[in-house]
Amino acid sequence: MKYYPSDKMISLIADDYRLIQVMSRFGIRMGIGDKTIMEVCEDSGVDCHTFLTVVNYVTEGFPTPEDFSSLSIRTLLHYLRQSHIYFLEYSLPSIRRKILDGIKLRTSDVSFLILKFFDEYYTEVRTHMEAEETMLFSYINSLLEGHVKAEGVVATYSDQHENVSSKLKELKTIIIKFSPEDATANLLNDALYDIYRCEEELENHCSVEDNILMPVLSLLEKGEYNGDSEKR
Amino acid sequence: MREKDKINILIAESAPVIAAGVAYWMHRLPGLQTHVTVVETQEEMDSYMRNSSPDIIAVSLSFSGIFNPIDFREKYGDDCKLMAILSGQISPSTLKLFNGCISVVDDVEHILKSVRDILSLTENSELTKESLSVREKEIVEWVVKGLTNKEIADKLFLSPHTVMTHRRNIARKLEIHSATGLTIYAIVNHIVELSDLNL
Repeated sequence: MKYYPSDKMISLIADDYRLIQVMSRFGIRMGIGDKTIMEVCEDSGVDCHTFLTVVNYVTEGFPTPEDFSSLSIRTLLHYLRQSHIYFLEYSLPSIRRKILDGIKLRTSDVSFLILKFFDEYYTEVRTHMEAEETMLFSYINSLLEGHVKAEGVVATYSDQHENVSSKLKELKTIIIKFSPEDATANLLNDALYDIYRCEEELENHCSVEDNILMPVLSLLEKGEYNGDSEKR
Repeated sequence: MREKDKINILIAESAPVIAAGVAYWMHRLPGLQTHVTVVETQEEMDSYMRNSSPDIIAVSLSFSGIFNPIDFREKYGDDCKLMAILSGQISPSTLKLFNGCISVVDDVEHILKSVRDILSLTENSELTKESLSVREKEIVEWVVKGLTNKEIADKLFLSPHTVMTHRRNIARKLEIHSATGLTIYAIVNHIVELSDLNL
């Protein structure tokens, strides 16, 4: 299902509730009435074309590259940064709390190690996302400001993405296989549900970076990028 | 399952875009060496099958009209490992005729798992997937206690390469790749005690 500027914003959520997250990260709040996607984007100061590119990518699973050269990179970076904040400040900490409450932490057994695994994972995700922001996003911003291209900045980020989601799979495996017997089932189930959802969201997030941000960046490096012109 | 030889994979798919996509990932399965061949018509398939016996035949249900696993096995032998390439729904009874399946929306991990499942099924059929051998448990113990592969190799009179192979198999069987994950496994299964470890 592909969406157009003239579609009603509310139909997005009706079709796929995951898009609530996408809207919110672009800075679009609830209270959208019956406005079209175009109108809501204008009201919220969001570049409609970029918003729809991400929405259509998330729902259809493949990008439409012909539109890339006019994407707003600034809008895209804002979206990705908000996603980072969501994972690091909200989603993962909330999963940690649920695991902690569910497994009845004691230093004497595996419950302690399960939490240790989670904390190691969290640190890894955080390091990756922070590095992306300080290295990659700053590099892109400097390109937008007219600075010259540098070699080797882009290389490693996509490679790490596989790790980010595969470790979350391992966390599920560990909880499912090795939870202590006295763990609280409802809390732990809740944590698992959240992990499944978080995994899916992280995969989506990483693939937006790999399949939208990276191609746009390479256009920018080649000087074939036309978006964000009024701001440059 | 052996990891040493290249795994020969035949892709029989008439839709070129799907064939190219499946071939792309079959080439890049992490930890597996594969050799991939694509055939788009029945004639190509027949001529390929005359000279080779692929480890896996990944075939779309609509290959050359409607692909019939029963006819195929009659023609080329019962031991062919057939993997269905699914682009839509499939009935369970049809799926049963295949050794496994992948879907065109699968990510590389799913494809890897399907490939591994299909191959290990025959060669490790007596071994349940998750249980480790005595040797593997020994290796887990030393990994968890913090020894390097080289140290483990010396201790158990193995080559470092063999230790690596064991570790890969352990990771595959347990679906655990991290040191902390292995530690949890080792404690729950009484391979080590938490008090033995410096954490």
